[in-house]
Formats: sequence, structure tokens, C-alpha cells
Amino acid sequence: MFNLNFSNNYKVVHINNELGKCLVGGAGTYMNEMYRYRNSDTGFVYMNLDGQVQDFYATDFMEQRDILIMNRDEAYKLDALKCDILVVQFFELAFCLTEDIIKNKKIVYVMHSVPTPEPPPKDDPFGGHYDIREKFERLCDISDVLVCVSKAEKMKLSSMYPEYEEKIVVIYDGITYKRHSKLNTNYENSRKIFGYIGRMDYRKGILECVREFKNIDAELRIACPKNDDLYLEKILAYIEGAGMQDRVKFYGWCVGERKENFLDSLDALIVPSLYEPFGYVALEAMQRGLPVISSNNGGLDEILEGYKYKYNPYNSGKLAEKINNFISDSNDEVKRQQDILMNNMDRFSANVMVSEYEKLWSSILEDK
Amino acid sequence: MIRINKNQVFLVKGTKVMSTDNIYIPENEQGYFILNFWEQCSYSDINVLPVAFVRCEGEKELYNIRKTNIILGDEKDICLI
Repeated sequence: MFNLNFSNNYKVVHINNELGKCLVGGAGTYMNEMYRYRNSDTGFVYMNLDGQVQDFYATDFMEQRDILIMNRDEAYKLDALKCDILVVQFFELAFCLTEDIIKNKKIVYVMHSVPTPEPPPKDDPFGGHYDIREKFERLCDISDVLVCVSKAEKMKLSSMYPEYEEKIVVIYDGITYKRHSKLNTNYENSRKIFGYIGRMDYRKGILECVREFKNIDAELRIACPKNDDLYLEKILAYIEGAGMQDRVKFYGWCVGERKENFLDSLDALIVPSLYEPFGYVALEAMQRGLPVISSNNGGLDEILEGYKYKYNPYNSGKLAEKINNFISDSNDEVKRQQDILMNNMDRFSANVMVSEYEKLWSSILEDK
Repeated sequence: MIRINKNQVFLVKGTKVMSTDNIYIPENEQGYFILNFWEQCSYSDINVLPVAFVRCEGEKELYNIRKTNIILGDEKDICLI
């Protein structure tokens, strides 16, 4: 265990497995924003869920305050945790919440995704992953409040579990927007460079995106880590078979300044996800004015409300249609769409998100 | 053996790459190739690909690397700049 000025005297404690530089995806972005805007009543427990004990460095954790870092086999130490509200953001953390630990506390599960395959099989939404289902259901059962990060996610959860309906609330995720001195106006001169950035995961729809690109005279740039060998091989085989080697380029796992420059190099970002509970990546593009051509399945539809370049990822040919629309539209039309994106951003800022959580904590404590 | 220091930008078959670690390239019958394509990289110039030494262990790696814009090469293909 590694204590970074964790006082153990908080109203709210977040137990999480993504914090500081230890990130996997959108849940980590959410957690870092919650940390950035925390008040003196809020603490954070970072739980290393890897099987192996890891070394951690204080410098991995931003301001190095109000954080307790522990490995999985030290979870029993949470018995001594003092707080009014325990917040968990991942079903794999359910094991931490023993009867002793949750006694006299309110439990909030901030659900960054209902953990089903995509699309969820109708007769068995968890696709045979009974262990995941068991942990997920236990966490939902013991929670007093279930937070969904979009209305779409709430609909998904309540359609699977009508019995949870009354304890579900929707609080959108949010980010701190960076000030960009100049909006991306590449589209005024070029509509030939498109990009994807994110995990290499079949849920992200990268293969479908490459397929739709086959008959489009443009370049697709892909920036991602290698999360799935088999999926990568499928993508590579398709690129080779379709003779697209010169039009599909890989830029590696871009972070920091490289990620910024990757996004700035694009005329539009493609978000081809089969389903996205929220869709942080769209916000990252929007803050720089980069046009997005996006799937509308899940939270993305809410972030991109009123926007034109979105499509149903399960309808073949629709992405290509939207790309062609984007390519052929006038500058004025693209500018109008860019304005819609810029106007939508405010609803998904970190300030708004934190304020909504503050209200939630207050209402829970009033009821306690 | 060739040694290339970490963060050195160099050319492999005309493509500009940057070593993400110290690279030591021993002689071996299969030749070698260069790749660190899937590790996090914050190097700002996106036209420079992040690479590291990886030995060719089999056809599968060979296939993946050839198809992901990374150049397979041996020491005669390297040009320090």
C-alpha cells in the first residue's frame, strides 16, 4: 500500500482502477477529471487489478494528495475506510465491497458501460460470460444509486434490468477543454485525410470503417495500440486483399503532443464504434473544431445532437455515404455543422459533470 | 553490431523513424526488423514512426510488420541522419 496524503476522513471516496497515468479508456479520463476538481471531502483509492504486484511512483498520480494506492491482495485493508459514500466505477471492483466495508455507507456505481458484447445477444446479453454477469449484478444490487453516463446507457440497462429503473440517474461524463488558438479549418482546402484514434477492439468498428473506405478516394490514418492480435490480422488481411496499403496508414499509439498533432493533421475524425456508452473521443475532436463522422449508437448520438454527419453503424454503406456527404458539402455547410459541435460542447464539460455529482452526493447525504 | 541511441531519428529504406529505446542490432541469419509500433509514443512529428529493435521470430510477426507501414530491413538499409 502506498499512501499519498490520504487522510481517511472523507465524505466521498472513489474506488477505481484508472487514475493518473494508469489509464485504460474513458473511465480513466472521467476519474482524472473528478480528481482534478475534487474538494477536501473527497478521497481516491486506486486499486491495481493486475494479478501481479506492481511498483507505483508518486509522480504517476498528479498532485499526489488524497490518494491511497493498493494492490488487489491488500483490499482487506479497506475495512478501515471511513466515509459516507463509496463510489465504484468498474464491476471488477465488486470484490472490494464486502459486507464489513459497505456497512453504514451509501454505494454509488458509476457505470461506464454495461459489460456486454456488441451487439448484445438477445437470449444472453452477457454472451456466456457468467462471471462478469455475477459481479455486475452484485454491484448493481448493493448500490444505492446507479449512474449511467448517457441516456442510451440508461436505456440499455433498464431494458435488461427493469428492477433497477428507480435507482438509475444519468450524469454525462465531461472533460476540461483545452484552449485551441485556432479551430481546425482543414476542410476548407482538403477533405481527403480521415482518421481513427482509439483502442483496437472490434467494438470500435475499425474493420467496418476500413471496408467502407474501399471505394472512397481518400486516406485513412489509424492511431491505436495493439489490443487484439486477431482483430488486427483481420484488418490487415482486408487492407491487403483490397489493395488499400497506400491509403490506410498506421501511426502507432499516439499520446501527448503526437496525439494533438495527429488530430490536427486530419480533415475529419471518424468514430465508427458499433456502440459507445459515452464517446469522449468526439469531445476531443470537437474542442478543436475538427469535424466528426460518427456512429450514432449510444452516447455519441447525444453528444452530437442536431449534427448531420452521423450514421447507424449496423447499416452497411452508411458511413461511406456520410463521408461522401462531407466531401461534397459546401464550406458553409461544413461550417454550420462545426458550429453545432462547438455549441454542444458546453453540456459535456468537466465543470458541469462535477457539479452534477456534487448535487448527487448532497441528495444522498440528505437521505442518509 | 549496430548501436542506435534512444530518440535518434534515422532512415530505414527511406522512411524516417525514431528509436524509442537504445537499439543494439546483433548479426543474425534472419536479419532483423525494426518496430515499436504499438507502444505509447508522444514524439510530436507524426511523420516519424516510433520504432525499436524486434527480432523476426516467425511468419506471423513478419506478416504483421510488413502490413503496418513499418519497414522490414537489415543493417544495410539504415541511414543515420
